[in-house]
Amino acid sequence: MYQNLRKFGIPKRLYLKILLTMRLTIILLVACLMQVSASTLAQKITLSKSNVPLKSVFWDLKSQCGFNFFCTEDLLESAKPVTIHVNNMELEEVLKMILPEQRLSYRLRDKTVIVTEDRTVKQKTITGFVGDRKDGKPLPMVTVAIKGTKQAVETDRNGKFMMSIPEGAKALEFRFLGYKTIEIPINANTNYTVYMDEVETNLEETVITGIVERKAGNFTGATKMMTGAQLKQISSNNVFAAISAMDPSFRVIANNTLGGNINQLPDIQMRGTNSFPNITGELSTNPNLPLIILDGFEVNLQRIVDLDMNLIASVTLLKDASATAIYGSRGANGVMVVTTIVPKAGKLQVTFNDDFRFTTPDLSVYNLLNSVEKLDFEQRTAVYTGGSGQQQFKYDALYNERYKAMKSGVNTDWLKIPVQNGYSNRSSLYLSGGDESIRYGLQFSGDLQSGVMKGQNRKNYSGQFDLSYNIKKFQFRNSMRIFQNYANESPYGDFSKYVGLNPYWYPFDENGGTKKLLENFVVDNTRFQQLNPLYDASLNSINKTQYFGISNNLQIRYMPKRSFYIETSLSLNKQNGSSDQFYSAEDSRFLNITDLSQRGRYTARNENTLGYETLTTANLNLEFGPHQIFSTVGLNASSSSSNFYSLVAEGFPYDRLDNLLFAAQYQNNSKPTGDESTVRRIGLVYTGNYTYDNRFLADVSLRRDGSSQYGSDKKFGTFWSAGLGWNIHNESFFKQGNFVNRLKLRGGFGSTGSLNIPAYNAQSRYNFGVGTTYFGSLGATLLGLGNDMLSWQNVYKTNIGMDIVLLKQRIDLTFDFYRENTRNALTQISLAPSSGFSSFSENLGQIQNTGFEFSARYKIMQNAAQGLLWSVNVNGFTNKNILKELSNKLKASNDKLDAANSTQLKPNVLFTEGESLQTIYVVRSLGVDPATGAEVFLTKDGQKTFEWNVADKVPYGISQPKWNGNFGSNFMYKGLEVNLIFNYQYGGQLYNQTLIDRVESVDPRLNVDRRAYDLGWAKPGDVTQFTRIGLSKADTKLTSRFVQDDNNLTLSSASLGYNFYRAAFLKKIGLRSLLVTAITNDVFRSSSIAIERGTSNPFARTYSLSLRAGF
Amino acid sequence: MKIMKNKILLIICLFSVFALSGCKKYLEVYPKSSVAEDELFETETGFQQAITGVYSQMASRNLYGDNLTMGFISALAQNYAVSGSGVRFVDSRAVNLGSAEVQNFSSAIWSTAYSAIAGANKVISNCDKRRNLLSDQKYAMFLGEALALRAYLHFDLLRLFGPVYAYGASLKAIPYKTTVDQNPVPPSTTAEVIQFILKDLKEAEALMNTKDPIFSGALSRQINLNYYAVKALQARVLLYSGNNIDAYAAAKIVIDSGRFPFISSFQVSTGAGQKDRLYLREQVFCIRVRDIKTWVDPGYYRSNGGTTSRLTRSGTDFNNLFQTASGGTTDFRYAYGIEADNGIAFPSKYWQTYQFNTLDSNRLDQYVPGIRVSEMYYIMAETAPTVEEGITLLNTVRGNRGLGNLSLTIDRITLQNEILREHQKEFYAEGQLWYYYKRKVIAKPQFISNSITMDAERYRLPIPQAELEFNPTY
Repeated sequence: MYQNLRKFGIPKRLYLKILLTMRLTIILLVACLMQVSASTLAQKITLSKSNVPLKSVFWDLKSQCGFNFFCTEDLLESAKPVTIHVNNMELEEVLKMILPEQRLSYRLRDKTVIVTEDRTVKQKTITGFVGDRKDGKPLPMVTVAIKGTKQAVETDRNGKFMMSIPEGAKALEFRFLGYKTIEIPINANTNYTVYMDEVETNLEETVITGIVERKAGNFTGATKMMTGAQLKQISSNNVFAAISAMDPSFRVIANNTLGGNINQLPDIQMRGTNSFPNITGELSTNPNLPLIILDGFEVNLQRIVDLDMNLIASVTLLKDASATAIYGSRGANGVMVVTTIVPKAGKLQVTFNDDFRFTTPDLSVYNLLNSVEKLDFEQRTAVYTGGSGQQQFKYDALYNERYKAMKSGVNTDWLKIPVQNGYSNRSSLYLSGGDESIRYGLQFSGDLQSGVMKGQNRKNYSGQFDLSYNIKKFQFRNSMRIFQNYANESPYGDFSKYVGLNPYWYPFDENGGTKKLLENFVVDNTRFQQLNPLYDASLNSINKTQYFGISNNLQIRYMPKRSFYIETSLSLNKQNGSSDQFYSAEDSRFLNITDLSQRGRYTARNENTLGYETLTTANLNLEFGPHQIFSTVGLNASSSSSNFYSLVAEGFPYDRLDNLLFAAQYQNNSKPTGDESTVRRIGLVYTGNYTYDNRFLADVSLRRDGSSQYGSDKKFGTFWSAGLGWNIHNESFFKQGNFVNRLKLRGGFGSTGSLNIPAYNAQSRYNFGVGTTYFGSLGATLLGLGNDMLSWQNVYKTNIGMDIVLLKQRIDLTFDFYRENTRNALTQISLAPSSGFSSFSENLGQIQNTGFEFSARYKIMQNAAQGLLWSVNVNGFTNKNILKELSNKLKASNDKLDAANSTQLKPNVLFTEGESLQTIYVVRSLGVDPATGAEVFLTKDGQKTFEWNVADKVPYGISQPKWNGNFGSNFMYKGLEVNLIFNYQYGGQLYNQTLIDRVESVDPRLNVDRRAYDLGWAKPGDVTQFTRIGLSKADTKLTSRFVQDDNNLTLSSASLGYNFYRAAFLKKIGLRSLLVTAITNDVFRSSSIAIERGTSNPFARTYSLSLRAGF
Repeated sequence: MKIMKNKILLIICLFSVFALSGCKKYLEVYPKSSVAEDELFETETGFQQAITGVYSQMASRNLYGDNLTMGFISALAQNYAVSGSGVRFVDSRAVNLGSAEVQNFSSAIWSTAYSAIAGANKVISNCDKRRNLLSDQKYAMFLGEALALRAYLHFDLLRLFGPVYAYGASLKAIPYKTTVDQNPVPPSTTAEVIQFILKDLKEAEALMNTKDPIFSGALSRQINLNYYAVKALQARVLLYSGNNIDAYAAAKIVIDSGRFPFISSFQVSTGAGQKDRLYLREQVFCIRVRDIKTWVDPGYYRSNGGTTSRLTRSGTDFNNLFQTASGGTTDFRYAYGIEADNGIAFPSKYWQTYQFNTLDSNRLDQYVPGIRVSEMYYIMAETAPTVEEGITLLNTVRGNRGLGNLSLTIDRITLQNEILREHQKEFYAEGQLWYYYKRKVIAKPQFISNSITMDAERYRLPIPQAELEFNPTY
């Protein structure tokens, strides 16, 4: 500023004086001062200029008349060009000619012309509100400027603004980071309501592939992007459930055994099963698990399970080849890309989240007998009918004891005993701030979860520090996370242990202590005994795991030009985990062990993992004319190693001494065990996107991948994809009219791989150990047969999709049709033992998945000004899985599987060409013969028989639903938001094990399902679903009688939220924002099949209350 | 800009080239909890360890540690009078080939033997692949021993699962594995397997001749397939295939070497703590089974369990076996080899009575016999050009066992019968007896139940189901 003054020759002292007189509040106005010194006076002016700046006119006037001109540079700059043609005119006349149209006035004092704004011009005051187009919520801190001037104000926290505008101002400009700048013409209104759209770099419009970001409008791949806020609205803690509610092709496979155990990893799948199931149990991870990328780097499922949902900025699912080929050998099962929030510029912002959850066990699927009914049932099933008189006496005595207990009112609800209502709470605090060059973020989170089994809990603590720093063309970002987890399993053990216990047994004695035996009658030297599972639970035992991890992501971007940048990133991960299991010497598992030094057992395991991954990319974005090209070349290397040690010690005479140190000895004949694995990968990737005139789109990707996991002859593989798209709505013939807002057709084809095999499966390895020594020298024995040719299984993916937006964005539709062919599917095949090995990993077989997915949304009501939006949505997914080709070796394994199951009770996986991997194979049944009470079967070729034969099994159902998806509705009004999501599954079958275990094939001495009460077939002529239910009964073999349709409808999420942005009290209590949400999950469920779910651990119904406050 | 862009491109290209050239190395990750084949065979020690590994598998219970010596095969040879349902070895004693017991033993023997063969084959293929790593001496010994191991294991599989030679030389026997891969090998005929075995042995002999440390008196070589073990095995194989002349010659080389002298009466009769129950110095090849005590001491040859489940025979049976009525009482094998535990007579061959802290190298227990020098005498006696020479050879063994001489005038049939008796006494609980019965297709082995009559088919163990299923060429 001072230098500017010097140009005009103002001495420094004067400048200071001027400064003092200035109103400091209006900083913008005073940019510069100008002074013109006088030399001649009162001269006439002759001037002829066209379109010259006002400033130069002043210079001319000054030189002609000698007057100094004094005005702010601001005024000069915003002045319009001047055209003047005067001849011999007075200065004042000239001034009057040129200034008014600039809306400037002047005063003459001494030899100085003081030019000021024309205050006489009419000022108009306008007010307005700026909101987000998406939800109508107010946008604070939006810059509202008068176009062409520097005059601007900001909206307040309620999105409101007020400003005075000079007459003649043509338009208002609304600018806000992350939103599209919009221009509104100024008209007669004094109140403006404006809704802004988020810009295309915003999440919704961007496809985040984890390696590059692409404009969604120009990308041809099949992807689905969800924001963290959207997911959190569905479930406050289960990110996978929330994702599957938004995208039905992402399925969380319900585990009927583990149910709602919070300490178990979910089984997730995208677009069907691409791999052979893990029959041998040798594959280390679920072979169908999608690749999970967190902030650019691969992480395991556990990390996402334990990640604080409040940290998630977005989740993107990459499905087809165009989207996943950049992950080459890892992309075949689909990719789930998770990004976390990054600090925003601005003054320090504090966000506090608290999610409180209440979970209750879902026991509605159990329907057991009470004491009275149970005793009656036992009577009728002849439990107390003995052979000899003496035997009968014993039974009578036993019955009388039980009857006595029943009569005294004992009716124990065993189901309620091991379960609890869980109270969970997660609090997280996020601080962020900074400016354009330095930003920081700090996060702390503590999550205390309780499961539905007593004593089952899980605690997560995490801290994160983000720092980003921009200097010239460089951008540094570093994010460090520390996380600690503790998990305890319930000492009550398996839930199913309690289901069978009889209600006339009572777990506690008169003094309130826990009985060791539920029943302990000695009748005539015969002992009737029943262990009390509660007794084990009352002892001091340990079943816990914990891990501590630290991860650091560093990213450096060098951006010499807008169109080109190089980015390199490095991620380091270290994790240490341990698990401990301790059983007291008193535990029932040591009942038959008398040696005190073998009673009580401690199992300790320690695990370490260390991994790093780097990715360096060079990105070039070119635009010329209608052409747009985005290109990325990247190089990626990673290594991850893990090892564990485990040992078992025994002999803990006193169960309070539950430390490993108190062990008497190592477990008899045991030794420490452990294993190690290291996997390294490298990859070179190219991906490019070409757009012509925003109409024609093309994507290509190429990746060359190498992995240490594969055979020495097949270490490298090439993966590629090509996609084409057509933005039909951008065609000129479609531009007019508002019926079609968007119509995009896209398709892609390519190959990807999947990589889920143990680290050293391809190598022939030797094992050393105590057992391999020979006369003092160490021997090496072959562990497994390596396969030098072992390679990725290749999945060829074809996808055709369409995105349609209609009727002023009221209707939103997406369709995708896909076919995925897995070739060289990896499998373990059995070998002739003469090869020296029992099995071998080989690329064999071909699996095909064909599917269709859609999602639709219709906005019934929309009024952004009132913050009103009511929409309904539905989505669906269907997938058909077929085994296309089987080698003879695989076919042979079927026979082996059947032979090992000559009296088969539970369905198993069989490989048949043309059938699905999820097919249920059973022997067809015609039901129970009313004459004899025996089951009538059909042989493979349709003959009736009473004989069950494993060879008669036929495909009878598919355990995967034909259609699954969600429908729901979302309603927003002002701050209120209501969201309902139903999940439906239709067209699948299930083998109803409950009907066998708890109804037909029951042991009547234990508790049974109410459906067993009428005993099934009793006498000739009875038409019933069940064969005779009684004491001596053959097991029910695999029969079509119990294959039932598994159609169900679940209210997976219902939520109610209120955003207090309109509430005045917020300011008073010092809050910036406040949001309260209540969610219930899985509260309602209706199913066509009555089956016990969550047999080891019941499913949970969740009620949660979330609070989000900003300071 | 353009220059800079080129520079960047250049840097990327250079980086990529470096990266890619280092790729192969980067991706070679070797396991730490186990050793990759490439890594193992990088040193002579590794070769040694791979061979040691094969011996350790042979020492496992599935093979010579139990099943093929004292256990299953001795039960087949009627060494134990077990009876009653559910009692160990009952189905084996009844030669009930379809029983789960026999099938399980057969399949365990089959797969472990082939697994050990795979180990030997890996050594063989790596010996040639990495010839430059090995000195001539080591190369000869490693390759020779591995070939001998392959032959030894295949020969026992042939004797267990193959047809009797005399009736089935041209019948399908067992696969002869010389490679390590997933592909099933079609079974060869008995005659072919014999040819393969002899070929391997010939090669092994040529390699080890003069190079084997046993020539310089290293008796620790007894626990490896040494040069003489190869010759002894040749004798065995040749005899099995009816080539008596060559069998005689091969056995003679072993005996004439003088390296396997007969045991002295002191050694076999001294106190329990030092007694040589296995006649260790007579072993041309034996297998060290270090943890044999864990199954032998509580389980075998001791008086625990019911009378019908003890692994022994009655006193009468032992009297019959050792012909105590006709001078057999002085037989070392009877006088010192049948001992009482809690008043019950047991064969004490495998009793582990050495003091706990005895140095490994001094112990005389913890071994199982592979090839005894006495077997060489029996082979020579059986194949001797004259009956008289045969009797003399047999008398050498008898004399060293504390028995009187047979008359030199007995006829050939009596001689053969005496040889059979010698087998029954000498190889009690060692397994070789069953092979002898099989070779001779003895219809009524000693002590067998009257209801059982053995024939060539019954002397053949069932090929495991898994092999028939996954080896389509069977």
